Amino acid sequence: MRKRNALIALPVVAVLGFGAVGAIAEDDDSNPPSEAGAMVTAVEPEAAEVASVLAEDRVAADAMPEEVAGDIGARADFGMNPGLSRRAIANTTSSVFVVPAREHVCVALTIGAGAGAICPPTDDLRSGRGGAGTAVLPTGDIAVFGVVPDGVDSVSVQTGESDARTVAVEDNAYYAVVAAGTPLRAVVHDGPDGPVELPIYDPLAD
Amino acid sequence: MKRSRARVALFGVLAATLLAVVLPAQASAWVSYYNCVNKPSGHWCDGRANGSYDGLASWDYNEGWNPGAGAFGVCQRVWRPATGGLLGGSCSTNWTGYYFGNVQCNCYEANVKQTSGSPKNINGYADSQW
Repeated sequence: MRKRNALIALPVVAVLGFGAVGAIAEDDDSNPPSEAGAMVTAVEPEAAEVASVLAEDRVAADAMPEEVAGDIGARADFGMNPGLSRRAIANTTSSVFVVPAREHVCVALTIGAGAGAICPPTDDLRSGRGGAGTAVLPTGDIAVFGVVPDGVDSVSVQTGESDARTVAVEDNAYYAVVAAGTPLRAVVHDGPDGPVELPIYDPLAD
Repeated sequence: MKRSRARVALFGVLAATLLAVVLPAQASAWVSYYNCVNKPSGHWCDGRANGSYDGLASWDYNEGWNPGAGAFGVCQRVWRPATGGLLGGSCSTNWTGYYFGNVQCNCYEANVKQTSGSPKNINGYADSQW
């Protein structure tokens, strides 16, 4: 009887062992901050108040490419739900989507079959300090993108020593392309509480 | 004898069933955490110096983040050492993530770096399970 119980128990213990390892890994301090549990099921009111594109009715064109949406949904970083995305800027090669998350508002830039994303906290976005993202495009150039609160109509993408280019905001998002090798400085705009300067970084710099 | 065979068969069925539940997730997933302590600004971290080197894989996802206080730039990249080719790279303040799609070549390295101007801890996470 004991032997039979041991035989039956062995695979059960082995499986429980796998589970224990998983639990230890999840408790590790090195877990990403993006691990925020299940994706949100609706746009949080605070997010819609700050970025009104999220308060608009969602239409078919707001859907992200299926493969990208699948990848983002599988991870649900910060609770990001691609099923609630709003397309802010449509482009033939890359598009910018505002994607609601939990206490964060993400913005994803599609690049080929993939996407780069940033997810500022909603509170930071409210003050205009949502941060700016950069990503390498297939051409080798650098995309500058981000999300801003209502009331910000344009941003200034500042490069080199003193170059500045005004970029219009569309549906709370902006997107600009900078030639590879251009020194990147900041995205500047007039936020709700005054001027805001968001540093930008070159992913190609060594 | 019949009872003994029945026990072995029962064991086999149980083991096969339970492993079938567990193994697909284990086999298809390749996950890497790389935590770089006091990494100089602008230096790519691959885990060799401070952390576990994740090696080459078909990374589908990579993210980098600031594990401490304050705000500074963080970047991630996935690239192919054999050719120097870049699959993709991105930066932002405190967190950046990149979804690469279904990468097939088991030949890419995932890195992160921080750009604060002084040594800082920088963490990264990559996986190839999606």
